[in-house]
Amino acid sequence: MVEPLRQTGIGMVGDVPWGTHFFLFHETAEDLIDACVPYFQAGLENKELCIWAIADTLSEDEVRYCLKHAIRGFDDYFDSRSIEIVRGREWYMTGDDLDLEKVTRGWKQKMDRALNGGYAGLRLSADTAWLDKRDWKEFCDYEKEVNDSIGDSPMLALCTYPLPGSAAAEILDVTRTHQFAIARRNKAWEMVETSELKQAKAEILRLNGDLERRVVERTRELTASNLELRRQMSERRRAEEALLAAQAELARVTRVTVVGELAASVAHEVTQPLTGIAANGTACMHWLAAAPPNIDRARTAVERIIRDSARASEVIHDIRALVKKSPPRREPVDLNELISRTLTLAGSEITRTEVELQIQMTDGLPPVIGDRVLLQQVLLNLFMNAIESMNSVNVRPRVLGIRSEWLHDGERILIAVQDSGTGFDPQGAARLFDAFYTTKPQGMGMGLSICRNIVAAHGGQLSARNNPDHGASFEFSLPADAHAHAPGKVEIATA
Amino acid sequence: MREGLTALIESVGLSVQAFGSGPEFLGAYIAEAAACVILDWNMPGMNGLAVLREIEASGNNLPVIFLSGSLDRPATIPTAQFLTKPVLEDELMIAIRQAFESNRRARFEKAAGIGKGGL
Repeated sequence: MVEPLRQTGIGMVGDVPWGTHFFLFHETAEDLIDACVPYFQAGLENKELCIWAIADTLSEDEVRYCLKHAIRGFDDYFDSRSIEIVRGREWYMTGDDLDLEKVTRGWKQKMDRALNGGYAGLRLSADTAWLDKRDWKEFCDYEKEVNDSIGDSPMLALCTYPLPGSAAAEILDVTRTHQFAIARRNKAWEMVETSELKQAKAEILRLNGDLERRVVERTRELTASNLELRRQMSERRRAEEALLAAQAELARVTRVTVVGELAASVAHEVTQPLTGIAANGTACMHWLAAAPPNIDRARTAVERIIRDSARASEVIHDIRALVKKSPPRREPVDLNELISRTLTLAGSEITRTEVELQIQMTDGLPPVIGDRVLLQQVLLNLFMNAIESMNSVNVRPRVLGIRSEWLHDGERILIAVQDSGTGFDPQGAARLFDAFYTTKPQGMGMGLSICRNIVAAHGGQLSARNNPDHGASFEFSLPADAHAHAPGKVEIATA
Repeated sequence: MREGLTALIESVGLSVQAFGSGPEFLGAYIAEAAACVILDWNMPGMNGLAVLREIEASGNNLPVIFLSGSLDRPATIPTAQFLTKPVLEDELMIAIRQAFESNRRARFEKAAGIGKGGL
């Protein structure tokens, strides 16, 4: 976790991290007050324990007056000992001797009080104007030690020293033993940095510049790869769309092929009602022309015309839907009704080939959700395959069995198409649903492959097996529409 | 279609009886009563040709008019007439008239001991 910076309260210095150990050269007591009062104000307002070891040039009363004048609620801070004012000379000396062990102990004690008293840390300022020249060397070593070890603790230390009378060597020593120094000369604050700090700052600047350059570079790289990725994604999407369109078109072409095979049957299914319409129309004319006109019979004839027209329309509607291009749809589809409609299309073909129908549809099945045309294509394909497989069968009845039922879990509807034909070669069973696999001389080999894809797209699986006696069975189950009702009774009808 | 043709024939004043399938017709028909039979060529169970064979096998030469789809037109059978669906009134009536004619001739020939039955 990164500790937030501490406000020094001294404008030129700004915010610094814990462990900052810096130095202030001052010309006058006024300079000292100017720097230290805002320094302690910032500390008190940020819940730090403040200790000020004051210079000989200042009295405690003076200092308290200045602090109280500047800091709101200062008396409370002072009474609760959030700020302590001690005399620097007394803090550092025992009698006439510098007692650094006592000082170290003292700071440690204050730090303990800060940490145990719920303060954020310790902020101190100490004036060393009282220091005797003979102790200078020892003091510098102590300061160096403080400077090296302070970084680990939640502590800010501001040492102050009068500039007048300071020798160049002393100034050098001070800047060496602190992280940086500030000085007030001719009313202007200046910062005296150590070479380490300067180097560190320069290094940070260089690193920042480097980082910025790398961020720009990396951003450019990422932007480029992002663009490339987008391009690839849209290309892939286009390819997928093209693939879907091609698959849909292939399915349609296969449908058209099946419809073509059914042309005779379809023509018959349209011709039957058309013949009825023509005959009823003529009959109606005769009943009306009779004297007196036979209105009842004429009405019956017209009713039949209307009924037959609807029947022919249904066939034409189905054929048009199978042949034309249309986007896939999702709608409720009644599979029983779809089976009946599909049998109508193939009806004449079933009659012509002398196939017997055995239909066993469960009443009241819920619809499935899907594309009606595609599902009809599956049924048509399975019916036509079954009929074709029985073409060469003459020794037993040609039976096309169609069954619809709820599966035990009630959530799916099973459709089974069974024939008594020649079945399929067990060797080729694995390839039955492969594209371009066919056993028919004119077959394209797409029918079952497309049927399996259509069933899969509707959440089912088309499977095939040879019957124990003769022929083959094809089965698939689709999820029932969840909004549908309970199963009904089984009704068996044979046509 | 069956209803339509029945209505049409009745509306011109002829008497007609309709059956749902070949076997139904064969089980019910009395050859003497009918002057002509109209058969669908393509029927489930027993097709038109099979019905014709049965009629011939029973020794009756009842004239037959076949109705067939345009695409399942069978090979011509000399003893029968063929109409392609949808059938128009005129051609149906002409066919029925011809059938009546041939039926009348057959009955006459039979009565006179001429023809297939022979002497």
